[in-house]
Amino acid sequence: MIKGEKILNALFTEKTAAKSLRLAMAAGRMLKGAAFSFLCCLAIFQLVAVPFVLVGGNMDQLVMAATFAYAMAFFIFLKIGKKNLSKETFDQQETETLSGFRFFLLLLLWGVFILLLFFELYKAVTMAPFDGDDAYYIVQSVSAYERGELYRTIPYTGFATSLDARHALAVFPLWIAYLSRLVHVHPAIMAHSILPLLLIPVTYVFYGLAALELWRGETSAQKPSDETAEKVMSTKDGETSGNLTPFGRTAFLPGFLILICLLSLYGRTSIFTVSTFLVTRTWQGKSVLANCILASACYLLCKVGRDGVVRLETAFLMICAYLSGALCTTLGVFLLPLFVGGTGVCLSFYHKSWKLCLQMALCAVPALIYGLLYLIL
Amino acid sequence: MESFPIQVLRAYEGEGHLALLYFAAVAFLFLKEKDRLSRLLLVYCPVCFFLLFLIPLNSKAYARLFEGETYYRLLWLLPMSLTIAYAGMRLIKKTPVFSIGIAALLIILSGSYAYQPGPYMFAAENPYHIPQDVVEVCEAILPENGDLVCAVFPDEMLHFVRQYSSRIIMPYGREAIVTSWGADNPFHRLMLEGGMETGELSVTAKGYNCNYIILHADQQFQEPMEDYGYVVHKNINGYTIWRDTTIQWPN
Repeated sequence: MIKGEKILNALFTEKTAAKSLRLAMAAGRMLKGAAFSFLCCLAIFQLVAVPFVLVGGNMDQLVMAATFAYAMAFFIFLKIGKKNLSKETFDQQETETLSGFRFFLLLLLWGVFILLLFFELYKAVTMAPFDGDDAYYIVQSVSAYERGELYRTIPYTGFATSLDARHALAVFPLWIAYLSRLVHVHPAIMAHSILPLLLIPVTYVFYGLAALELWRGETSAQKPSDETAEKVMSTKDGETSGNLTPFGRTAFLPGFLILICLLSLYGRTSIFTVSTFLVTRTWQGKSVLANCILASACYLLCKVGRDGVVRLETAFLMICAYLSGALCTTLGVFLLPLFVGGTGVCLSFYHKSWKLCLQMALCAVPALIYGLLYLIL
Repeated sequence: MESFPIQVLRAYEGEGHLALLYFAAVAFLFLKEKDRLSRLLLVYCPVCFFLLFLIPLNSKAYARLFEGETYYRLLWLLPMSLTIAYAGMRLIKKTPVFSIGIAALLIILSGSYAYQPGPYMFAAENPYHIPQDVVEVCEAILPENGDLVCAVFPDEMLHFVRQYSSRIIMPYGREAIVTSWGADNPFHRLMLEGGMETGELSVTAKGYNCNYIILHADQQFQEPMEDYGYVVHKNINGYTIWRDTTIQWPN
């Protein structure tokens, strides 16, 4: 053992490492819950807001209805949601012991990621990328916030108009207006300076969860089963299993997130990329779809692929993802089912299970309803 | 001649080579990844999606339902970030730090820094991320009683005015300056003139019940604005706010 390693082992004892790891796992569960709550919030708002927009309601009524819906959802989740939040994604690492050097490596990598994330959030707040579409979407939020109007004025001029059905089904600007009303902050400030601090980390949480689900396969190259779950739980330090070494297992999640962060920071190769939307149009529904919602769909597909079945929690989140996609942009009504449905069919063949296909098709029903509404309107 | 999907792909790749890096990551996972589910989700499914994207018939079907210029959004269905990052972690299994380092270098070399100063990236002047000039001009013309007000602005302010306040009505907005939308506005053409035809400007503005006309301080006129009932309301940062004393709108 080299001298440096001895020093690190002395500094970072297994007891310290284990305690820190448990804290980190608790933080991870909280972040996971926060990300799921974000999806649920968008889904609930979509269900409440679209009828108001279609019948010509005003913002005061919408604020009351949405607040009531959120309050009801909060109490329901307190009762039944907490118990069902899956713990298995994080349980693998809890049984592993870390040597001093591995723990130091882990701290270093997480430190790099957190620095990069803070840098990205700092830039998001202090830089003002110009996008012409803000003259539409932010103005819709401001109109709803100041004058209580729901898609009934031309945003570019302020003159009255009939309902623009194409945009009316995607009420993300109204969600911004709702948040602004709740905390009495101007929608432009809410969208440009506050929401990126939420949307960017949530995107990384979903990417991290997706990576962990893919990583679950590292302990076994076979299809998931109860035996596999036991193998996962009994992994010990020093054993190589699957494709990753012990160091690889330690470094995987923070290293993965560092690379995701770099792809955001260096992804602006054209105005069309997902990274460009994340950086320059974070607060627009299109960007939320391209980043948060599609990342959540990736996670859910990875989870379904590993589980071999659509569990209740997964089904609920999938429905929330579909509704959130519809809230973000009308294109989300078609893009998300195309992505999830297409991959879902492949997963059904992979697991040789038509039940899986049927479960995923049932989850897509809300998207189908909004799709029909879009075509009718 | 290249098919439309290929043109879209080239436009999507833009200045960098991240798309190339993505396909390299897919090829790497195809050769090296042992886990079958990861291969399905990161290799086979995206490749199928991509092949469907390349079919020109699909782009025509898309253009029927949505705007054809948004066809590039189907490329969002390829999990590029997830795949590149996952493959990056797989490069050198025994030394993950080197793996991360090499992958990071490839990303930085293939990509383009998002916050590079340029024509569309500015430092924020306030939490609204709206130019401070616009904020000050809007504050100068907004009535204290919460009423609406109508005003016309120079082109550089058009995108931002109603992002600050929806109580400001404008005779024209962004649609007048996006040439591809083809919405020609006579009032906008008047506002662009060097030696402004004051009489015509006044008649047009009064037709819209414009309370205010905001112009550059060095704007030249053929006749004085005061002859048509305008007074200088305020001068702010190189802009002059002209108030129409004859308009009582909205009251």
